[in-house]
Amino acid sequence: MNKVLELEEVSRTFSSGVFRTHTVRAVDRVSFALERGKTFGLVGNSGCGKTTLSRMITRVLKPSGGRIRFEGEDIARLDRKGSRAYHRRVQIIFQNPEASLDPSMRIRDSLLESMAIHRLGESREERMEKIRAALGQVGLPDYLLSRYPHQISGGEGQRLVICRALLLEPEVLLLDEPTSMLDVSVQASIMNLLRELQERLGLTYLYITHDIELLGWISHTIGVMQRGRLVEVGSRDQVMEAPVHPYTRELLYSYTHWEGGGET
Amino acid sequence: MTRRRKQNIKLALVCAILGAIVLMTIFAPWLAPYDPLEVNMELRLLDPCRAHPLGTDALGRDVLSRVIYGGRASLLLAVAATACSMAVGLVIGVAAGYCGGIVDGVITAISNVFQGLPGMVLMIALVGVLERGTRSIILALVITSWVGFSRLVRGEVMKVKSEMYVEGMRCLGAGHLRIVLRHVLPNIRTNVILQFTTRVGRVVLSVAGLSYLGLGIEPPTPDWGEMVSGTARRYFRSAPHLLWAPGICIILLTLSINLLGDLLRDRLDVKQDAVKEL
Amino acid sequence: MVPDIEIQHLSVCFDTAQGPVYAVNDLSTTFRAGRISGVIGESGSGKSVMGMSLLRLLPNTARVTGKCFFGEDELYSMPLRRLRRLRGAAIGLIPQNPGASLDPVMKLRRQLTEAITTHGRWKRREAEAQAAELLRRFGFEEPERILNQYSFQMSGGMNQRLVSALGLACRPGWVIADEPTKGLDAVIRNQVYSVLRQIYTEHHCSMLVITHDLALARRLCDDIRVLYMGRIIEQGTAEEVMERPRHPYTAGLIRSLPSRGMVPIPPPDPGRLEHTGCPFYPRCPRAMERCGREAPGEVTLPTGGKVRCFLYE
Repeated sequence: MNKVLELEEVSRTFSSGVFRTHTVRAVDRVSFALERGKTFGLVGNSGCGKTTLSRMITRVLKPSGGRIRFEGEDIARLDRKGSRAYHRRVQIIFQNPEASLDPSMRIRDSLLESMAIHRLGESREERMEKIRAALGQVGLPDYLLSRYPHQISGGEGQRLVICRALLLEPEVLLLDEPTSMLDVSVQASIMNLLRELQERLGLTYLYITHDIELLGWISHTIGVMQRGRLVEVGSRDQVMEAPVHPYTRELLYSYTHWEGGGET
Repeated sequence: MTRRRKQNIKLALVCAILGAIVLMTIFAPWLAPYDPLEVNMELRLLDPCRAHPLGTDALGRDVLSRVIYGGRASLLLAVAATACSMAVGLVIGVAAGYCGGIVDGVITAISNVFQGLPGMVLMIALVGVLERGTRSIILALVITSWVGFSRLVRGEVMKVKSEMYVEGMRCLGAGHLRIVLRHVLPNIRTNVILQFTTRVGRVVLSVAGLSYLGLGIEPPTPDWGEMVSGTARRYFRSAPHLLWAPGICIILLTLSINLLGDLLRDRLDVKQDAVKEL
Repeated sequence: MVPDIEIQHLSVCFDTAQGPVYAVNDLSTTFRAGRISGVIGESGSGKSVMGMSLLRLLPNTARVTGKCFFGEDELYSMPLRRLRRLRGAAIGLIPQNPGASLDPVMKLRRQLTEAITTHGRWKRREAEAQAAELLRRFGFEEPERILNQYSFQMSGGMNQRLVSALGLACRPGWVIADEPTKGLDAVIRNQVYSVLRQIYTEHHCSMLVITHDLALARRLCDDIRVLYMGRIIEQGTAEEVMERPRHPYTAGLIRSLPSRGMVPIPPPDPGRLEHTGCPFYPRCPRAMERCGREAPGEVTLPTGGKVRCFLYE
């Protein structure tokens, strides 16, 4: 199936206030699809709803309207077994690597646990072997296994989180601002790693960020969100070079303006 | 001297004091020179002398032996009572904090009722009503103290639940039970351990208070609290030596338990050594 | 006359469980008044520590050696009372993370006026008028309404502008801006840039901008110093450093920008980790054998900039 993940008119409203009268539409009838092996980049500023959208895809939140389908099946209707399989095949990488790992557990135990949840590997030795292989894939040394999350750097942490995801042999990776807390040079190495992994393993990415520059480098398709709505969708070249919606133009201006270097 | 060395020295000191008290309690039968229950009316109220280094009390019993044995009842009782009340509080607190919603609402309502009850007064009433003995004391202590602890646990659980790694575990497909047992409980353990130590200290004092009122450990079992209360009114001027030995023991025990809790908390806090990114 | 800030042989060392760590390592430089000076570096470069050490705002665990001169006065040998009078009034700070730098339970009115009245110059009512004027300058259209609110009611961008206003409340001659665009998205970054530009042109403040945001440094700063592991390894005008970087680290850093190719700096070569020379030696693609033995000294380039690299000796 070429369309791995499909969003059909997905909406999410939040109500607050004493009588639940004040409602906010965080996500408003968003539709798009992820193509297998390709990267869909979702861009927008803080508060545009992209985080809410990602939490609906990971099933932490339920959509108020619309449907999300994974390989044709509605993810809101998965049974226990289907749901566990879903969480193995669709994984999320968060912004802050240190916060994504349990601070009281050593790295080795965190990695072993994710395999244990999905009952992968027959024995501890087999799991450790797979872990060492996965660490090699992301370019990390073995000695990190005995450390705690606060003892590793941001770049190493993010590679570890990616490694933990890879151990489960996923098909889709949801990347929610994975490099925004990292230094520029570390960001470059993580982005290159992601691209390499996509080519080698055929992974599908949904890359969410406020930095349209990054999407220009890694995406095949780009979607622009503003205040909960998807205001523009198109191929990478189309959106970056000939944007239609004024908000897209504003976002692009913010970045190209910088690279002009000079106007003081 | 680095912070760590200073910590280690303090820890060693506190453990030594606590260890001495605990060992004294365990090895009482071998350490005590006399039977603490042996009454000897001819030798009552003797001042400290060579035969009786801490003198004798109103019934002629050797004070030193009674002090050595005196920790047993208090300590055992305090540990048992604290453990029970914390077990109850832990389960209820985790349920309230993790489940949220209606479960939390109901538990909080019940907690409010219990919290409104006056602690010491209720304890006295309960012990007075039930038959005197250790079981009643433990029951009274549990009933009056589980609320505070469950509130604390609830708060900690809610904090951990909102952390990103818990959401991450849900996204990895982990079930609720696994999350509670392997991620929530270990991450609240530092505060729980600290609570245990402060509470044991407080319970020792509560039991001493109950004994003072005649509701605690039954005589003739030696107990520091009872020794303080039994002599306080009548003999503190004529025979002060009856007071200060058990009194100092209570102070040392409570202080060292509290300090141990503090130091353990500092040690267990894994992040303490990291140099924060400036 | 606004004085220059001069740093001489500054070293800042922290005691950790793993042993002593030098955040700043024998750093010497002069920040001239009347300009916007940029200090760029990644995490661990020591740039924030250097900035905080100018105001003696380091934690107690830090051991500082060396001297910092504010004009003729040496900051580490002056009594604390005098330093406090300098902080805020002569050297202002726009700290990192504005959300955390504002007191959430204090109304903004009090926070802004407190800064002004602390330096004893004006009474409260006048201070309030000044604060309102300052807010208006920073693009807040209804300063009275803002003064009555709390910091958590403001958005991230607004907080950044507020904190900048706070740093300038006493019209200091120097402003240190510590990571002004950290964690902010592109549109707000533009706003921050405009605000800082405005501060410079309208208030004639000399500025020291500490950032990891290379694009901001390029647009905003007159000259840039590049920090790596506690040492300045290159400095020059913003244009020279960003368009024609000399030091291999600077070149690598710029090439890792998304707009310049997203080429990462290679990881350290394990065979080179034990060395006594240049700090960048384990990762340097152009390293020579000499680089592993000796640490390079500072070389002045024909353009006037400086670089610490044997390639230019």
